[in-house]
Amino acid sequence: MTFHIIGSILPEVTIAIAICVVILVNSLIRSVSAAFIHSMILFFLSVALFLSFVSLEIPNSNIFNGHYVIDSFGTNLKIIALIASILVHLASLKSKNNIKNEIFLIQLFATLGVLILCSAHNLLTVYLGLETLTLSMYGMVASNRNSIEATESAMKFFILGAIASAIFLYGLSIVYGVTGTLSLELIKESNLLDGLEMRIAVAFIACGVIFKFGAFPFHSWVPDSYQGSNTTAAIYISSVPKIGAFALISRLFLDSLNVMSEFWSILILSAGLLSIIIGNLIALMQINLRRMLAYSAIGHIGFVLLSFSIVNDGGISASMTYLLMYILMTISAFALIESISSEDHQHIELSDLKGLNNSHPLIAFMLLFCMFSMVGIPPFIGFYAKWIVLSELVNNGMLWFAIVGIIMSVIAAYYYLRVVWFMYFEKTDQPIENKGMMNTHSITSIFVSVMLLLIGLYPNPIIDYTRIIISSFLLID
Amino acid sequence: MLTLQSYLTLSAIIFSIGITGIVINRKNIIIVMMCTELLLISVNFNFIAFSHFLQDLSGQVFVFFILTVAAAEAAIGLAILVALYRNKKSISVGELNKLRN
Repeated sequence: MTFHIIGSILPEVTIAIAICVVILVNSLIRSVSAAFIHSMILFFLSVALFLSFVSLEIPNSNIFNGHYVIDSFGTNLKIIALIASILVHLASLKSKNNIKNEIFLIQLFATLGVLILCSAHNLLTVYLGLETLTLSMYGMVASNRNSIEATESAMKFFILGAIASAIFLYGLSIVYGVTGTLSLELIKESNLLDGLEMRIAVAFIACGVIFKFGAFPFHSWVPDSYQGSNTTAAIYISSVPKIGAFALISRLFLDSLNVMSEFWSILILSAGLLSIIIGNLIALMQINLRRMLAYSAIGHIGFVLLSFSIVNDGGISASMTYLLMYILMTISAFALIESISSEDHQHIELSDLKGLNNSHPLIAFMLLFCMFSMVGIPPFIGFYAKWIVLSELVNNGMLWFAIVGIIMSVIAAYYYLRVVWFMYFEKTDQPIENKGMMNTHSITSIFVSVMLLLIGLYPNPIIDYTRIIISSFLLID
Repeated sequence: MLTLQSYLTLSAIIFSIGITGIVINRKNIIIVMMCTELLLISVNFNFIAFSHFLQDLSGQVFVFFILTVAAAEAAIGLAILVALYRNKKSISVGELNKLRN
């Protein structure tokens, strides 16, 4: 029996073992090379990925007295999260000596938190997974501890995060008081009424979820932490935690609080709509490249939430498709920025991109792919992501929201294409110095950018994949 | 005889004091951290009150986990604060203004 339980959570166990091994090797062996640590982390992540593919075969089951659930939805999200972590890790392998190993260790902790969130089926496990993720994200942002910007952004992120998680917990406590149980399954089965106290609880929980996504009312940590932290941390916090947030919102709202769907869909809808508007409008005024990408990320997350608030099969699978494509785009964008930034030149501004086509034609071309994809120009994946979300909105009679989305995408094209303009049509006397091009980092960033085009030419597998996952998740209800 | 309502009112008051303290405080980050602890304490109060009146132990178990996580969170927050103080020589909330356009 015990073996059966351990057998169902092998990916999490692998990551936990990886954490212990990396801590021990890092502290016991003095002269350990960074390359060895990196290959060890990659090995453990790949083993965890393989084991999650294996655990797709396990039938749906509740383990640890219903604290944890193994189902195809959770396992597929784990696979996505692990693939994203591997890509992030490969993309941040640029300077082998200067980046400290601790940040990769903290990323492993955060990945563990995401994996726990994907399978959590009890308010307690949900809270613990969320805090494992959030606490590691504070550490990641602050990891560049000699820089004023990094510590300041970490402090702001910490204060906002502490408030958001306390509000989230207050919501959980009200749910516990009304239903008398912590288990998500029993909460779903209890005869909830759409009363005032449950509305307060759902609104409070929504605050925590929206903070994790980085959407409108709780978005102010996103630009600060993307700009202040180093790019290694920025790649991670812009991609993998969003998968955990998606698991959280699906398990809590879609699954167990489905009775309240009329109320929470309004909350999610307004957060999504306002994030699209605010994110894209503020991004127009940015001159720092990473801060601009942060506001554009707020806009993209707005589309994910807007589509989620449709609350049916098509809308939620469109939301998940958008999320996956956004993650690919953000990894590619930050990896390319990493390849033109150096240790003493972390804050890339738009004017630094002048003449990039002459000094680094390949990076410029890949950044062009990435920006076209974010605008939503066919045949890149960003086009399909926007097209699916907008067509679902129109099909469900939310025409006006689709129109707002289209207008905001057109406005967004200005600041994305400005990057392309600077790279191709502006001249400069001081081009960014050349770096060694053929290392793991540049190969990964080129690979991901080419994927933007290849998946864009043939997007059906991803669309079908999310549709199958979401319909299997909704069938369990 | 204290009713559930009085416990919930007290916890809501503590929660509001915490939020107010964070919003109006302009001087010291340590006070902000004390206020976040207040928020968590009000949540604990809620859980214990519900657990007592529902005759269900799981709420009290939850409180232990919240206490542990709050300790870890305070440790990380204070570590960030020390790093910030080394860089800026100040822990005033009003001076967190380097990251603006």
